[in-house]
Amino acid sequence: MKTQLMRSTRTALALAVTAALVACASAPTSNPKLDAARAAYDRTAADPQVVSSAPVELRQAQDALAKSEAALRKGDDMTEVEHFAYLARQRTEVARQAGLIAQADAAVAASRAERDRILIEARTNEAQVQRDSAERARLAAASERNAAEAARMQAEEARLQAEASRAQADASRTQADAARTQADAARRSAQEQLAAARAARQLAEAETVRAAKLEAQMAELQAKQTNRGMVLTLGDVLFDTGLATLKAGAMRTVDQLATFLQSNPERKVLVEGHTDSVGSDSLNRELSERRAQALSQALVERQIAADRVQASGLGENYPVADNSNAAGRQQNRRVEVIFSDADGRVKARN
Amino acid sequence: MNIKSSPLRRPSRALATLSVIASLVFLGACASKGVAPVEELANARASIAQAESAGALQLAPVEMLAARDKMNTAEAAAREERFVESRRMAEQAMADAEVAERKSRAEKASRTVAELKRGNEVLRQETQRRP
Repeated sequence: MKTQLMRSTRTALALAVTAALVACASAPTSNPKLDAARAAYDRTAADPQVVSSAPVELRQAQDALAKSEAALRKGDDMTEVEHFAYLARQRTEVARQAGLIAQADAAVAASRAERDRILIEARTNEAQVQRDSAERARLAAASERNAAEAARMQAEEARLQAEASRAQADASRTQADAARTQADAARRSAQEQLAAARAARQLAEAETVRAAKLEAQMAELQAKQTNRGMVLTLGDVLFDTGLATLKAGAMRTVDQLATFLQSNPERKVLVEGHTDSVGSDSLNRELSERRAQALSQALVERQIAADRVQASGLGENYPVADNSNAAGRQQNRRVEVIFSDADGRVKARN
Repeated sequence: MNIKSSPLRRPSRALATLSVIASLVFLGACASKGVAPVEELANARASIAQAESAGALQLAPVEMLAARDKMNTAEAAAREERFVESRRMAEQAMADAEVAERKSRAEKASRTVAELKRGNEVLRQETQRRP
C-alpha cells in the first residue's frame, strides 16, 4: 500500500513538475506592452510636478509595473503580464493628470493674485487720476475766469465801439442830410441861376434886339447921340414961321416918334423948344414953349401918355449956331427931342 | 527518466508534501478558478460612479466608454464563474474610470485657469482705459 501511494505521489509530482516546467518553460525576456508602460512611467516619474503632487498615484503605477515584470520573469501567462502593464499605463496617466491638476490649481492661485494686483494698481491709478483731474479742474476754472474776464472786456470794447459807430452813423446821417439839403439848395440855386441866366439871356437878347431896334429906330429918326443921350432935332421947316403949328411935312416925323415911343414904353421924351435971337426974350420963350407943346400935343394925340412927354421952351438961351447969319439963325430955330434912358430919366441940361 | 533509480525513491514525508503543495500552488497559479472578485467589482463600480459625478461622461467619454464596457465584461465573466477574467476586467475598469475622473478634473481646472486669465485681461484693459 505504502509503495503504491509513493508511486502515485511520485508520478503526480513528476507530472506536476513537468507540467509546471512545460507551462513556464518558454519565459520570454520582454513584452512590448510592458515596455511601453515602463517608458510611460519613466517619463512621468521624471516630472517633478508629478512627483510632488501625485506620489501616491505614482506608487500605485509602480506597483502594477512591478507585478507585470514579476509575472514576465515567472513566465506567467501573457494576459497576466499585459493586464498589469495596462494597469500600470492607466495609473501612470492618472498620476500625470494629477500633476496637471496641481499645475492648474497653482495657476488659479496666481491668476487670483494677479487679479488683486491689477485692482490695486487700478485703484492707485484712479486715485492719481482723480488728483490729476481735480488739478485740471482747478486750472480749467482759473482759465475760465480769465476767459470770462477777457470776454467781458471784449464786450465792453465792443459796446464802446458800437456806440462810437452809432455816433458816427448819426453824424454821417446828419452830414448826409445837410449835404442833401445843400444839394437841394444848390440844385434849386442852380436851377434858379439857370432860369435867371436864361431870363437874363433872354432879356439881354431882347435888350439887344431892342437896342438894335432902338438904334435902328433912332437911326430912322435921325437922332443923334449927345452927352444927354439920344437927341432928335426937328428943324425950323416943320413949323410955319413965327407960328407953333406943325406943318403937314412934320407929321411923318411925329408919326415915327410916336411909333418909337409906343414900341419902347419905358422911354420918355423931353421936348425942348428953341428960337434964334431975333425978337424979345420973352416972346421967343413963349414961342418956343408953344412949339414944344405942339409937338407934345401931337404925340399925346398919337396915344402917347402925357407923363411921358415933357415940354419946355428955352427960348434963345441955348443956341447951337451963330445967330449973326441966316443959316445960323435957321439952325437955332429948332425943337429938340431928348430921349430918356431905359429908366425914363432924361439927363438934365448942364 | 527512471524514477525508480533516482534518489527521490526514498524522500522524507515533509519534503514530498511540500513538493506536492508547491506544485499544486504552481498549477493553481496557472489553472485554478479562484473566488469571485467581489471587492474588485465593487471598487470598479464606485470608481465609475465617482468619475461620472466629476462630469467624465462629457469630459472623458472615451475612457468612460472603455470603463463601462470592461465593467460589463467583468460582471458577465463573474456570472459565468470566469473569475480570473472578471477580476482583471474589474481592475482595468477601475483604472479607466480613475483616468476618466482625473482627466475631467484636469480639464475643468484648465478651463478655470483660462477663464481667470481672460477675466484678468478684460480687467487690465478696463483699468487702463480709464485715464
